[in-house]
Amino acid sequence: MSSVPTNRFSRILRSASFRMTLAYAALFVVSAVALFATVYFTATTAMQNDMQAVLRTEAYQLAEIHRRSGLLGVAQEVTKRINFRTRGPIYYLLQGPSQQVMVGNLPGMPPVNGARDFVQEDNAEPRSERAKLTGFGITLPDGAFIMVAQDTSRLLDMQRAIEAAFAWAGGLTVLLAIVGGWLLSGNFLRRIDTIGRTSRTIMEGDLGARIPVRGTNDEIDQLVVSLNLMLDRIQHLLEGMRQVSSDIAHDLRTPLSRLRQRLEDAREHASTTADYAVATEAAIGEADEMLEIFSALLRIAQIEAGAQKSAFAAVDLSELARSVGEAYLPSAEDSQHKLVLDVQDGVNLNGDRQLLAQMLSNLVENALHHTPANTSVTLTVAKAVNGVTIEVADNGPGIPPAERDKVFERFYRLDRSRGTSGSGLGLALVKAVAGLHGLAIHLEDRSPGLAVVLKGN
Amino acid sequence: MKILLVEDDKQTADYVAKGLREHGHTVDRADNGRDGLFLAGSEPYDVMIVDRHMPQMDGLSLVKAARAAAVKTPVLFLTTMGGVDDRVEGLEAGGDDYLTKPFAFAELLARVSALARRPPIVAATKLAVGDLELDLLARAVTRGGKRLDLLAQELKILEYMMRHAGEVVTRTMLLEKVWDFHFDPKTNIVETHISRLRAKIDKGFSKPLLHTVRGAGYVLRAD
Repeated sequence: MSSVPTNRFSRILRSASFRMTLAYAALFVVSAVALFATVYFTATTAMQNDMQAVLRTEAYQLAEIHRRSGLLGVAQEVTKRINFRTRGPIYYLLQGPSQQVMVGNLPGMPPVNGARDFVQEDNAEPRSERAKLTGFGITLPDGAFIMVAQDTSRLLDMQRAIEAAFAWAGGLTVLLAIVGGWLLSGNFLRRIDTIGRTSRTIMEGDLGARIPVRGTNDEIDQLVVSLNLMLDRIQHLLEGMRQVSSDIAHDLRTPLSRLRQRLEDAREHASTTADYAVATEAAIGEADEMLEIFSALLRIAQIEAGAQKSAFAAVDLSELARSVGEAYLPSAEDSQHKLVLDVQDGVNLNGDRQLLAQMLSNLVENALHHTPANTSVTLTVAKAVNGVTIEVADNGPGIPPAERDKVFERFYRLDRSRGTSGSGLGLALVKAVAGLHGLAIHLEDRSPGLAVVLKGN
Repeated sequence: MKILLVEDDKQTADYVAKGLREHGHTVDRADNGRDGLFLAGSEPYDVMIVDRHMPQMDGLSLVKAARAAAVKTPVLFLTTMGGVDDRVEGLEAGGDDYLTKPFAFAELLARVSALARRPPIVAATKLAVGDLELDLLARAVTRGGKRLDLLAQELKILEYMMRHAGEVVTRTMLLEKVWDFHFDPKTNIVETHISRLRAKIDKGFSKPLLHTVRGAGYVLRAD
């Protein structure tokens, strides 16, 4: 969160969500005004029409009475209506043919026909308080004049009520929009800030930092989950790289220090040419071992980069497996292993023959190398439902379950193999080649023994 | 033998040229592809040793240009990359063999000799070294008239060595030619096969034919 509140305030004003809230509020106000105008004018017109209809009916009734009963009859009726009218304040005026007021509670006026608005002349009230009236007048055939009028305060009251209601609602809407927008964008900004803060923490070196997930599973949460997964992947890769570089340093230090010891020993103790020959021979051997490690690492890296897919062609896996197996038969015999080839005919695979040969070689070598004498090693190649199955199984001591995944990592060696020669890169290369060929690799416990199983393509 | 060495790294070039001269060969040197191509076109050589990566004109372009100019001299590529694609590329460009740096000098020497004395590609039906005979059609081996029983891979080794009789054949050359393995197995598969082959062809005969050349490889020789 920002430490300077004004900064935060301006950020909220600039934030996308707040602007959107304002836009929505403005839209709401515009539609409220349109609604207000519609309601206001419809209601006013309806009420005015209603009042006019009442007045018109009254006026025509009185005109009818005049036609039937004459001026006196009308005067009587008007008097009666003024006295007995209970339904709302209706005002009457009857003027004789010479325009003198005969009866009525309205001041005299020049005769008109039809609707007319006017203000009640009442000197007792201040001008602003005087009732506004709307009336309907009829000039009778004999020159007499009837005016019926109603107080318009009901209409004004209604209009004022509508105005007030909309004023409140509109004001409240704008207020809610601003407060809501403030809260929403503040919340949004806090979450963005959290992401930014976590990024800075990671940049400062804490690779394990992760953005907290709220558990609401909204868009931001989903984004955060993706970001965290990406960070996991990056951390994993970085750790792998760090691991590999420290492993390389460690694994090369051993042959390098041996090389140094031999050279130093030769300098101190060698006296004959033969001594020097032995020392240089050994030194070359150590250097070759290191070069071998580099070349294996380079090869694994090349394969993992997928650079060699261009050399893919149809490979007769059956023929290749037999050739590799037969190459190892004499060696297996010498180390008193039983190497069995169980190879189905006509198994083909689209791939790189050289890499597949090296993969099979490494698998067979690995099995022969890490099992004691009198162990049986079987190389199986068969067609499977979804491609091929390659399996190298032995009935040796196996691998503890906890270490099964790790044997495919570069330089990983089982504790009991530490004393033997080998770089710990053989199975890493196998995995890389398998990956390049779309083969899934896993280890199976054959109790006793172990099987490396490759399936797919 | 007259050898052209095209290599831009002076230390490697010195090392190779010195070794070849010690073995009685004449060596011409070029330290870039353009000069190399000029020499290759103007002088008859028995073998060319060409580095893949050089300034001005790389090894691949040099060999392509030389082949286009009908120069048929066998070419050995030197490369720092062990990638399979690089080997295939080199062979497609017209190279005959390749060697990955760093290499043992004995390996280079054996390969140069093998390239220079490439057997003519004629369909011989019989190979012979001393009293050892290989009938290529019947896939049958006899020594002094006595039939020997060889396994398929032993026969392949023997055939390759008989075709290069008198030349040093290295462990790596056997891996490449017999098994088509272009990597270095941790197990001594070549040694074990050779020892079995030797037991079959030399055991019980007064004069051994299959000799080990220390630090280099093997040679099949009648004298």
